[in-house]
Amino acid sequence: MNKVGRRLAVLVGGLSLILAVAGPWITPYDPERPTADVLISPSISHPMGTDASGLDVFSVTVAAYRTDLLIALAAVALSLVVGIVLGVLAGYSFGGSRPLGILGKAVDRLLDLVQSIPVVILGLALVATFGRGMPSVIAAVAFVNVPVFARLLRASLKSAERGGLVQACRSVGLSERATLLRHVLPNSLDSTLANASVALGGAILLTAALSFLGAGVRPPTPEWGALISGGANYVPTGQWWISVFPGLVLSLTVVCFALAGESVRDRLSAASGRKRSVDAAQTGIDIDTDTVMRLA
Amino acid sequence: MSRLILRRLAVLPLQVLGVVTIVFFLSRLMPGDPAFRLAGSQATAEQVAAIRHDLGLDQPIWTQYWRFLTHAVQGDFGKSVQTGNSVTTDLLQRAPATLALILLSLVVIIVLTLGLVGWFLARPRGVARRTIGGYGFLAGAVPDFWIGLALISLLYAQFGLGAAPSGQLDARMFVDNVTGVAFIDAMLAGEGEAAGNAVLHLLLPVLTLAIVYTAPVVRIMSAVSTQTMQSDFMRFANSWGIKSWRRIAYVLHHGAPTLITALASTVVFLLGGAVLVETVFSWGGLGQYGVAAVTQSDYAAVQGFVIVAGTFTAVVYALGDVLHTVFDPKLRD
Repeated sequence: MNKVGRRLAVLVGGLSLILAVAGPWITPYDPERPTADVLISPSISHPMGTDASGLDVFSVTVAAYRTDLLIALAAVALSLVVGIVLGVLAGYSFGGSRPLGILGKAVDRLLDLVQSIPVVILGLALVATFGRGMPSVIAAVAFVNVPVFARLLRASLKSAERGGLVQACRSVGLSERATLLRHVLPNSLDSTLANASVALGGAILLTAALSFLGAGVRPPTPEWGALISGGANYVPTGQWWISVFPGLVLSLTVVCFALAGESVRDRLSAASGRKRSVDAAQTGIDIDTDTVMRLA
Repeated sequence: MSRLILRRLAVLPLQVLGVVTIVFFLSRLMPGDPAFRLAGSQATAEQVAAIRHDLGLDQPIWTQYWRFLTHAVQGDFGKSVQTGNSVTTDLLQRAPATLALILLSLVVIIVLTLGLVGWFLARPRGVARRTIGGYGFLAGAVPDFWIGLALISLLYAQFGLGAAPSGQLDARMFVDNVTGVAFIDAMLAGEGEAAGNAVLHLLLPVLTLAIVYTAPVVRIMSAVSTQTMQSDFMRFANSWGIKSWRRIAYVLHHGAPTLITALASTVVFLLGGAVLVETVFSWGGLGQYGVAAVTQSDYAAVQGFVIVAGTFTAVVYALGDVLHTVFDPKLRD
């Protein structure tokens, strides 16, 4: 992506953050109180039209920013913390400690397993387990994201170990704890943290998907997926605006997070002179023959 | 190579076992007593106790786990509350519709990928590169269910292309349900009109899945192809003055193992995507069944659905790895 694209992303991203914070003072209508205009196509008084119950689509879409952003931030923060802990267990040798080594292997396999189930299906299963509502959506989205963070950190830790940083720390007589917490971990977190921005976009997508399926945030809480779902029945008959606008705003937001993530990643790789395959961990696609080779 | 394949296949049952185990322990995380939930609010203490005994919930957890495992291995996931049938019957009935959607989309994705990557290789700089880059970026950011709705709005509502999102056939059409895939059923019954209608109904869901899930494959393949183009063997080949179509063929051949692995992941993504796309188009397959099970707290059906999805995933990845081994000359012995 070029510079113009990035500036645009910062601009749109900043604007959307302002909307998220100041939404209620900006929107022309109350997002929870229907107006008398029902199913009106986009016009000057209703820039994104109104839905079947007379709610102003623009106002609800702006109000949904808060819900989606809150869920995404909470879920990513949660999965980052858990992911770091599990990543350290899976990726660090702890000076060759045996029980921790076995635990690490087990964690690694478990992450493999969790990542093998498609995210939407895993998310659905988790919501079915925890019950519906905002906390369980946060838990489900966080759960799904944990393996991505853990595996990124695991990869960095392994390369730190190979690269001799761990050996260097040990050779000057640092304790195992100081080696890990003061030197190895801070030096290995960059790609994991860079992924957080991309993960935010993914978290918004998953939250919307769950709500769209009726397994996420419940109406009347304004949420993009639920809004898209609410308008879905009107799309075939030509009333497209109820579903299309929330989806457009959602996509724009996700693009911004992805661009921001990419730019952070570019800077990191420029600074350290190496490229890491964040994509591979993110999408679950192993570009190299890793999976096959590991078994050999 | 064959040892490698055998080893890979030996892992498969373990992965399936892992999925079943995860599903079992997830169900124990559920708040509340399942016996109470099944018995309903009117039940007496004896009735609840009877249900608890029937389900084996009064046994220690390992006995319960063993029971769940042995039932699952026999394909017994219990009874669905919403349909009253056994979950296995429900799943088997709906699986073909989902499989048809996934496989047809996969074919379209392969064609699109080869086309786009071929274009990129013929003109590595300029428009092709920017198109692929931009497309890959956008497709990852736009929700698939929204693309489905946008296509309905744009193609169907505006131009009358495709069909209304009402399942695999128009409501006025009817064919005997033999396979669960309306198109095949119509062909079997020799009803040309219904078959044509089924094709129209396939158009938009397949297009939706293809638009969203071609992007990551194209992105990976163009990245790999770029690497191959700069490799020593390609520079050597170029120095001999090979023709450009031959160059493309070399690069694609070299990328085949990667393509296979990427496609295996794609099939798994398609299963996840199908859950959403089926809901948009009321497709009546596995995905829609799973969603209904979740929203109606039909837990036996949810468990069956997740286990089937997880097993499908494990099998697809294993198949991808095996094919990868076959196609990668470096792994031959």
